[in-house]
Amino acid sequence: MSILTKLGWRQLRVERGRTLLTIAAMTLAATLAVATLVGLRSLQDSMYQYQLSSTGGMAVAFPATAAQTVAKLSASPLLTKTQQYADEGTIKVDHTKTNDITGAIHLTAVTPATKPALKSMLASGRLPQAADEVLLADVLVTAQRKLGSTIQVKSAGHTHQYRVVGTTNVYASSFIPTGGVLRITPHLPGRRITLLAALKNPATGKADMVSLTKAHDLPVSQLRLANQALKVMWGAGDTKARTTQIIIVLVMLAVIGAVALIMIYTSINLAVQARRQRYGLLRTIGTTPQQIRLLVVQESLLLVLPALLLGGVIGIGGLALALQWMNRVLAGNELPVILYLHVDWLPLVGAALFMVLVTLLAAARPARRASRVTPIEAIRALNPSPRLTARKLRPTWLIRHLHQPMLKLGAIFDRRDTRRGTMLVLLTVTVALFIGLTSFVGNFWRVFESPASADVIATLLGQGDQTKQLKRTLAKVTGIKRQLIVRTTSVMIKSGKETGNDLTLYVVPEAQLARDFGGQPTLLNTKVFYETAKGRQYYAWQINPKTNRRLHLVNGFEAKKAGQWIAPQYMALSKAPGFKGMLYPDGLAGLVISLTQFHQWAGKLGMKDADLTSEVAVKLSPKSQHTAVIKALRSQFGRAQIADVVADNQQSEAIITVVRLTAWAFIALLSLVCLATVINHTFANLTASRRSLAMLQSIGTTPKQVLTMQQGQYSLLLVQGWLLGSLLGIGLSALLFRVMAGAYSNAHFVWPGVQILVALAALMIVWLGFGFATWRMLNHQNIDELVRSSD
Amino acid sequence: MPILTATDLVKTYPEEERPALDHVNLTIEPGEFVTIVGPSGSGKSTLLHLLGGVDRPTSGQVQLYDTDLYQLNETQLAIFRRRQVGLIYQFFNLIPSLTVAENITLPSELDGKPVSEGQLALMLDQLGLTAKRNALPAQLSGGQQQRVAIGRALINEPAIVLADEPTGNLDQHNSQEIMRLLHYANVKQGQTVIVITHDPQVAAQAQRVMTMTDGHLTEGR
Repeated sequence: MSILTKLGWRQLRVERGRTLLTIAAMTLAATLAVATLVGLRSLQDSMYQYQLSSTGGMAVAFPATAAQTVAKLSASPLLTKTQQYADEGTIKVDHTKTNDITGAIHLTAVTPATKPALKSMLASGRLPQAADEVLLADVLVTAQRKLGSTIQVKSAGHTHQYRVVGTTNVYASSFIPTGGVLRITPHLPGRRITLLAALKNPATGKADMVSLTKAHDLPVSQLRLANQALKVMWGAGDTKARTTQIIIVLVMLAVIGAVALIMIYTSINLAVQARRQRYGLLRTIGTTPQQIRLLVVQESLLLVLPALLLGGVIGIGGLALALQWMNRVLAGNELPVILYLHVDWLPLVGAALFMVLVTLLAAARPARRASRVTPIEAIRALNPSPRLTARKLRPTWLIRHLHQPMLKLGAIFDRRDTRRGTMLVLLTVTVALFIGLTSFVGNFWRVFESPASADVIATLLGQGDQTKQLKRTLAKVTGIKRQLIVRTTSVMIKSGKETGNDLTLYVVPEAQLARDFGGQPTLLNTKVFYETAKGRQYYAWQINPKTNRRLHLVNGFEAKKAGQWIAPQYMALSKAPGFKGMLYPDGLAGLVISLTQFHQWAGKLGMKDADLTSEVAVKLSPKSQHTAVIKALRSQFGRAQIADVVADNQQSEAIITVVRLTAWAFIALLSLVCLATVINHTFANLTASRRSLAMLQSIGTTPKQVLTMQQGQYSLLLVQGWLLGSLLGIGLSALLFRVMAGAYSNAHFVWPGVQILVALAALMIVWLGFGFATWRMLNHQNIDELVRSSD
Repeated sequence: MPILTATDLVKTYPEEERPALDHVNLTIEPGEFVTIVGPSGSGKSTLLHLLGGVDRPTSGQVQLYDTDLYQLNETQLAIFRRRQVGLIYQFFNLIPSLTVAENITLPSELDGKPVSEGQLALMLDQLGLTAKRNALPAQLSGGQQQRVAIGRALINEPAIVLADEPTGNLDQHNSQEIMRLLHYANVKQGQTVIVITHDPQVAAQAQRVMTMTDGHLTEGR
């Protein structure tokens, strides 16, 4: 061990408090780096597994070929797991006249290894267990040919009898054909066997599989890949998608890097400042500037090692807990994604290299500063004199108007504090990042959120007034949070700018119209985005309430009747009692009227009572009750058109929820690291000012007075940081939103008022903590010792 | 040929009107033992720092043999200090986290020339610190700490030893011990020694005494 390494090591051990503080700062940065990189890797892997769930984990289907070639392909080291199926040719199934299938029906034999994929395709029943059991495509199901029935299959001149034990969803995204009949057998017949496989290295998936297919003289055009899954792993050969994802990762790393850099730089810089005299002394005995630089860098790198270990443990442990929590959230919302913790060497090595790089960068300036300490500074115990300009010495408006002496002193110290700039920058960056990112993410998600609507919507076309029956049916089901039962029909506007637009008439009982809308016909208006010919987007009411006080309604384009003029009252759909959150809010303005009003206008509109359709919209809690509601509606109203909004949104919501949770976790961690930097800097400054505070105490200033001064000084800094950070945060959020979400029609920016208040609350907690620490320090420090010490 | 020559040395501090050193000229021959006396604030320490390459003059020249000190860059100057100059201070200025042995061998280690066990043992013996070899500076008395500082100054066998009030913080017994060690370095090892002191008894032990008054250096007391 060289003398410099030994010296660095000893120094770190002697200054235990500062060393631990620096390690803590670095650990936080390392935690952020490890959690982000491992988290992204885990997310990538989880989304890959999710995308492959419908194919039973298989990512590729090779062109159908002979068993010999399949055996060779299976032996490839590029593949991990394999499954096989064989097309046994087209078949004739009895009673085919009633099904919707127009093309040929295939009989497919699959190996037992495909069971996981078959499970995800299963629409009803179970998987075949015996040789004479089959699965049937759900579209082939008829009154005679259904679950439990025996079917006759004619194939290659032979007739076989099979029992249907399950049906398959014809729309399931699987490599195995889903539109015919499936049987399971360990020995596949025929020469046309399709090999399905999982990939060893999905990142090079497409390229590997294309070469493998070519190498076995198979037509590449018939090679099928799970492209969505491979895209996630950057292995689909989609350069644009890969570039976008790499850019996102790089941006995240840049943000983490900037935060970690500030944090580590602060810690190292504070340590260097405290050791100026030591460096000067070393310089007098012949240590070169390069050796001093090396000393600082070595010390920093020595601290990175434990920080990396701790950060790794905390990062991975925290991530495991976070994923567990996220899985609970996903399961609670019936979202079909499971997040796995995937720890491999790449993100860990990446995080280590990243931290070393950030530490080297962070140590560069303090190291240069340390190497510039002159020997004479050490000998004379010179403290660098603060460089105060005449402007800094002039009292500010605040100083002139503060009458409380200690607060005034605090304001003066605040103005002349040379470390203030760094602290202010830190605070501002922290607040700006927190407000900017949380506000941006909140606004950005709003763009992708499914419009607030009911969970189940059923329309009973041509069945007359079914409102009472609907009420009775729903009364038997639990979990209904809200319900809206109305009769509807559609009319057309024939006046103003909206001429030609459809308008839904919501016909409600007299009492409901009187209670919720004052008995007046009420136009439930919505705001939507419009775009001018020049591409300028603006957000406006769908039906302009100022220019359309009166509306002319007719019964469609080819209306034979004159129609009805009405002067409705306008109300935002988002505020309409009973209706808000129950209808799709975009582009669907509607008019609420009573049954009596409808009957009064029916003649002029050319409509009759029978034209009204009964509709029900239901909001559920828990949402898992959607199946029970649909079952009840189906049993009562067989021909109802039912929209299962919960099921429709599940897949997209699953992905959005995962990404949203990940983004929030990232921002939370980032904000914590930023806040920790501020706290680290605050307390390091407090420690550094012990001597000057002791001097104040030595001349008779009471701890309470010193505390008032310190708190006053710190308040000024926090308030400025909060104000500046809030402004920058709003700017950052608006800028990101404009760049990334401005193109979406339903995007509108919401000001981050809540985030600004949360930041203020967090800073107040820091302020209180600072006050407590100062108070403790003032009451426990040895004033005599501090005043006498020269270092 | 003189070992050390100072020509027209001027040092002015920005915050002071009067120069700390006012056109000082000095020539030291090899093997001389010189003391510089003078009242506080007369510029003694400033002169010593300029002679040792610790500080840079406002104008003038300092030459050690043929080398003009202030033509050297920072790295060259550091190496020069490490190899040619041994510095001793009133307040010892030891590294608190290094042991006695490590403090003494520090300049040599920095130079990439590890000190042999025999050489170190001899040095510790001469300094009377053999038993304290692994002690930290905080565990030593003032006299012992100053002896460690002398050991550190002498370990690289520099051409010139500069001591700034080396006995200023010590009792008489320890002062005598320190002077004995400096004389040993001067007589037995042939090193040139320049000592700044307030103490007439210390000054009296030198071959040559110079006086510093208001930035001017004069020969004799």
